[in-house]
Amino acid sequence: MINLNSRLTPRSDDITASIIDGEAIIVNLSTGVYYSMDATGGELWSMIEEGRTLREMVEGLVAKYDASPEQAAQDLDRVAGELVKEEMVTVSEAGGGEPAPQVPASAARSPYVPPVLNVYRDMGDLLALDPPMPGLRDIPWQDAGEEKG
Amino acid sequence: MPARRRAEAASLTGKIPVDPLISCIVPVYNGERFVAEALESILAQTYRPIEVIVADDGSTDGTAAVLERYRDRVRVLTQPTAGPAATRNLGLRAARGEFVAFLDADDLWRQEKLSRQMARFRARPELEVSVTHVQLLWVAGLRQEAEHYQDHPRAQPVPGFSTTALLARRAVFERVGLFNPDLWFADATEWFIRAREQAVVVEVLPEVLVFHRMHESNLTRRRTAASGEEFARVVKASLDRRRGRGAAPIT
Repeated sequence: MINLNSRLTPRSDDITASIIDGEAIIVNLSTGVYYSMDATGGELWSMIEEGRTLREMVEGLVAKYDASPEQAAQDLDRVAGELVKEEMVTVSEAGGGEPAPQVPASAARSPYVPPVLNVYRDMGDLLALDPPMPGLRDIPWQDAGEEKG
Repeated sequence: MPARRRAEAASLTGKIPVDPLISCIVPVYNGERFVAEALESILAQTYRPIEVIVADDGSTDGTAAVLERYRDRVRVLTQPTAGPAATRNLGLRAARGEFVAFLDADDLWRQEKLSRQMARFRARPELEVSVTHVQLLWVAGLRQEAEHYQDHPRAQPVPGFSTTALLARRAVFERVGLFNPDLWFADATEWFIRAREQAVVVEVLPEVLVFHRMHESNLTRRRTAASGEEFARVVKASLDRRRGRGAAPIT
């Protein structure tokens, strides 16, 4: 169950993600499905990669954009659900502790555009072979016999 | 219909009247361990005529000594190390065939690979690119890794949108362009994306005719993070083109 104390962790073995020109581009290495999250969404993915809780992400969005905490929380809950459904992140509880202090609103906040997870399934065939294998290690397993040889 | 009349009829309809030359290009960098097997799998092809071009990207191991054994059957080109895409382009520029195919120095073709693909070009004169399915093949020393992945979707036969499974009319490269030499991992994917955007006629053969070898020093294994980032950049550039935005440079 996702709540404001949840933390989302990218499934880094299964996906590759980069933020380019403020847009998060995420590729599922097993399926070739790829995703984009522009503007507010790119900001959101950055905060996920930083390991923030949903509460901290809501505060981050409200501090930077012209959004109410209620709207940001609602949008974040929606996007987090989509990220989980697409198996891009895992959910964990941040544990107890005091809620993070409210971030004061800035006078120079940018216009708020709700974050959107765009899903593209048109290149599954093109991305089925050449991208790195999910979970492939830099230092591979070696059979003991091979090492002795 | 007699063979001669069939050939005449074929030439009138734009079909392929005789067996055209296929240039088989093998890019290699420090490939002494497997390059001989790759060359043998080309030379064992049931299809003729072929020319074999090895493009050596400045290897520093014993690759040159291995290639010396094939000097009567293989043309070898060398360049200072510039990456896989630039090496494929080196071979491509030297190709004389009406058709071109590529085989990475650690991969293998089944002996009927080129014949099966050329049959498709005969059957479909409008065809410009053929790819086969590809199966991963782990070296003996990586048995545990092979077992780990055995049920994974990527370890099943997959459509071979990589250079190593491709047979293409050489003229396609004049339309789509060469491989982007700034890319070290995603150059083939980026080329296929461009080909798709330009509506190149591509067909995927359902049979596995190519084996991609998984070994201890695959390029993507050694630089997984850099490789993943490059694929993300290639995808982003394609998205930008389709959305009508100025594409970010994919260097």
